[in-house]
Amino acid sequence: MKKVLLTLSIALIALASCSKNETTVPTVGEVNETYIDASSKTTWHYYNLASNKFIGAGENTKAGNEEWFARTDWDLAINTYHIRTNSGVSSSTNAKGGTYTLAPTVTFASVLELPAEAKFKQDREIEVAGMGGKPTIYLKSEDTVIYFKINEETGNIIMPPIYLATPVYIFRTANGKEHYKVQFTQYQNENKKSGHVKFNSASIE
Amino acid sequence: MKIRLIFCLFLLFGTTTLHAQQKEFNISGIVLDTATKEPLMGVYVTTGKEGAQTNKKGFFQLKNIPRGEVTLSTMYYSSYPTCSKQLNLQQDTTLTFSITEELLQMNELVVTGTRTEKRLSESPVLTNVIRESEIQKAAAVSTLESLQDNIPGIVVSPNAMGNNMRIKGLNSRYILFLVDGERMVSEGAGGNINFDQIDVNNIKRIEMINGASSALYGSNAVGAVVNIITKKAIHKFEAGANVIAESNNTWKTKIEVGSRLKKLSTRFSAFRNSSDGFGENGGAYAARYSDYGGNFNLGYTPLDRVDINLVGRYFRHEVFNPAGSMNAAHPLTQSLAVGVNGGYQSEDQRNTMRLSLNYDKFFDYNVLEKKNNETSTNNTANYISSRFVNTFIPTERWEIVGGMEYNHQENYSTKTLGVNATTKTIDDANLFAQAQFEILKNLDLVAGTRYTYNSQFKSAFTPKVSLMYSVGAFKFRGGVGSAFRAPDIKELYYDFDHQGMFWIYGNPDLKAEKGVYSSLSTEYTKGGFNMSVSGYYNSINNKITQYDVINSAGANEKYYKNVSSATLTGVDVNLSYILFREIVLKGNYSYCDAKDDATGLQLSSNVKHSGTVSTTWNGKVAQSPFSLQLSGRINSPILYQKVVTDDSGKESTEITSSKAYSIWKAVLVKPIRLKKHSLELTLKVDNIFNFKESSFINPGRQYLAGVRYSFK
Repeated sequence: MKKVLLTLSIALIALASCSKNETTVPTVGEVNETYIDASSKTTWHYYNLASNKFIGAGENTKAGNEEWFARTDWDLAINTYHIRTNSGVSSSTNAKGGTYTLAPTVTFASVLELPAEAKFKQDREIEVAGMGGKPTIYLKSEDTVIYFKINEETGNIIMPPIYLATPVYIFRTANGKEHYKVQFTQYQNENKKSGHVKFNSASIE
Repeated sequence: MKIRLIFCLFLLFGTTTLHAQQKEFNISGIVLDTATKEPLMGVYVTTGKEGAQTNKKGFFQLKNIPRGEVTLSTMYYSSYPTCSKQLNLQQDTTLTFSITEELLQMNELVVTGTRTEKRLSESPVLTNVIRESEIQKAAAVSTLESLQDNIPGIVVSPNAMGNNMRIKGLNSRYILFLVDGERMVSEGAGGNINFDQIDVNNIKRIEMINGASSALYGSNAVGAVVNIITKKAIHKFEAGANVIAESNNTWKTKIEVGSRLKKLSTRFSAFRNSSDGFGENGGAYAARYSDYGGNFNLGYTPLDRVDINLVGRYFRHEVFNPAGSMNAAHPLTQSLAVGVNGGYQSEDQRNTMRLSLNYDKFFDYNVLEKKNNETSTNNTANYISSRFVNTFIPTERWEIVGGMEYNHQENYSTKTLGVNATTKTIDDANLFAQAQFEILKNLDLVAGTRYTYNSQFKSAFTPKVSLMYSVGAFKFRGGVGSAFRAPDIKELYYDFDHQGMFWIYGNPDLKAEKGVYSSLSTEYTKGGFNMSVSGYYNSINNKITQYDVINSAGANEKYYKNVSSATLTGVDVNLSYILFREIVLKGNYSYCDAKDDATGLQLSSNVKHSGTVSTTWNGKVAQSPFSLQLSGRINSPILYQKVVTDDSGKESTEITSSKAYSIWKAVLVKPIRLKKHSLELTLKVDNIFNFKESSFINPGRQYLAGVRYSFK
């Protein structure tokens, strides 16, 4: 008797979940894996999330940046391990891009919709320490392609670095209307050359 | 010098009856402990073919041994040296063997100070020795651990680039590490040497000399000389195996086999060590690794006064990435050392000549995980050393060691010596001589010098002089020595673009660093008590320092120049005491002020006060021995002091330090002997009090269980 009840309740739960799925599960877009050789320190590669394409490249110069900051057809840009969103200092049109970083424990597959608490960070002037040299000011997102393993006892990066997949980022498109989950999964190519970046992206509601 | 501890006494009582017709006789006797006069149970007494183990009363009997020359040897636990005696067996014979444990040996032979064998007590240079039995009783699982157990003030900050070891603020570039007198090739940043290439179970003893105390060594002998002496076969046939299991799925296994015949001796050992590392899910982190290695030696003595030896060593070390890593590659290193040497002694034994040729090569690879683990070479470093040494004893009061040495160093790198793969070399030729003269019965003078011609910095001349005076149980040693450290290939020729983040450039005009080391020491030895106090002043000039230049693009370029100097002033105290025969107390204390003369700051990672202590109880239960050791390393805080320059070019001092250290371990070793078979069981708790500190990359308390088997 107990067994029958158990089976019944499992079936009911299954049914309940089915009906829930049919009505409320958000639509997650197809997952795209994208690769770019972004190893040149002087070049930014600009990407459109909706078309899953790099639409062009610009030099990291005042003129090069100004040209791209005036455009609204890109949502993500990569230069080595730096990234840009079409927002803040990286936009001259007041574009609405930005990133929201999820906790490192959240998996890419488990992100189905935009979390209610999501607050988007805009690009800003960020000082990049020059390993003892003069810090360089970058116009970029505070998020990066690389995520280092740290010694949790000291909070220091383990040397030489161990790169981990980044946390899942949610990118807002330049028009501020669509959202994509993005996770960087490669920084080095098979020959250990840095700046060869791979990432997965998919649209979420 | 009177030998204070006698290890092997042999007494022979012949019976009176003549047995002219008999072909076989019996040998019987007892084995006693020299120190306690107690009979020893379980000692195996053997002729090589026949053998018998002593009973509770220490009694043994060998029956029907053929008439003629017989060599009898004792085999007991590893800390009791074998005692052998030859006799011409012509009748039934009764013997008494008296053996004792190797606890504190002032009459053992050391070689580092003079490149000739000297009794430790008579060595003109104060030499500290770590013995095989001490390594075993401390259950040291690595060469580095045995160094840390015995040398105060060692700081290691391991990462995948190496152990980054420093002693009193000086990194491995200032310490000359030798294996059987041959220099080990340093591998990478900071002159790191991976000591795991030396199997700790293959070490007979480690000899250490502080400062520039011998004219017989060249570059790097500025801070200390550490000479690791490896085991040679001593029995007709010997074999052994070890298995050690430690926390973090760490396994260390080893097999060895050896043979010593009349003219030929050989020994081979192979080991495999592996560990899961720790901290993948938090805490201090060390990577998973897998090591293989082997040692080989072959000795041939065609005549009593001639010997030829072939030695070899191989080590492979692979470090893996943690789960979830995006690194496309992991590091793999290999090192290979081969050498051949030969000696000849003149008939009057006044001249001993030795010729040696050694080749040591280090390989550093990337294992490309996404390309089927294909390897790509990053760097190789090789070192070829050839040497001729002659020891001449013209009269009893003189000993003159002279020789010449030629070394060739060659580094290859795919990226650190230029954008393209580049090879750079350094050669040096050396002449050296050191004379020991007995001025009076109790007063010895040692004077020596070394001249080096280096293809880069040209000439270095390093003279040394020291005196040793003995009175009663006291020995006084004092001396002044100079040493140099040649700039290494990286410091000379670095041309490295670190992914556009910073650049390092070598300086081919670098001069050698010069060190002047003055020391005074007193040693007191009486019975089981030995104590030495040594004060030193070590001034290192022309020190090579890396400095930063911000280029016009705002990026950081690093260069080298001979700018700084450092002064190390300190006192070392060593003490060992055998208490009631069964308890051995050992302790070291070291005070060191290691000052950067330009800034007045302490050299990075210096520890002002440091010490090691151990208490070993060599006890017996039902006549069966065991040893229980409690030992600790105690340090005052590790000091990290440096001058930093801010954006505006303003300099300020950044001073940080670790907590004070106190790390303890307890080890129980239980040996069991059955005839020619010996088994040693080891249990260890390391870091008993679970000491944790951010500068100390350690998983906390760890446990070890080990079994060591040997057959002789």
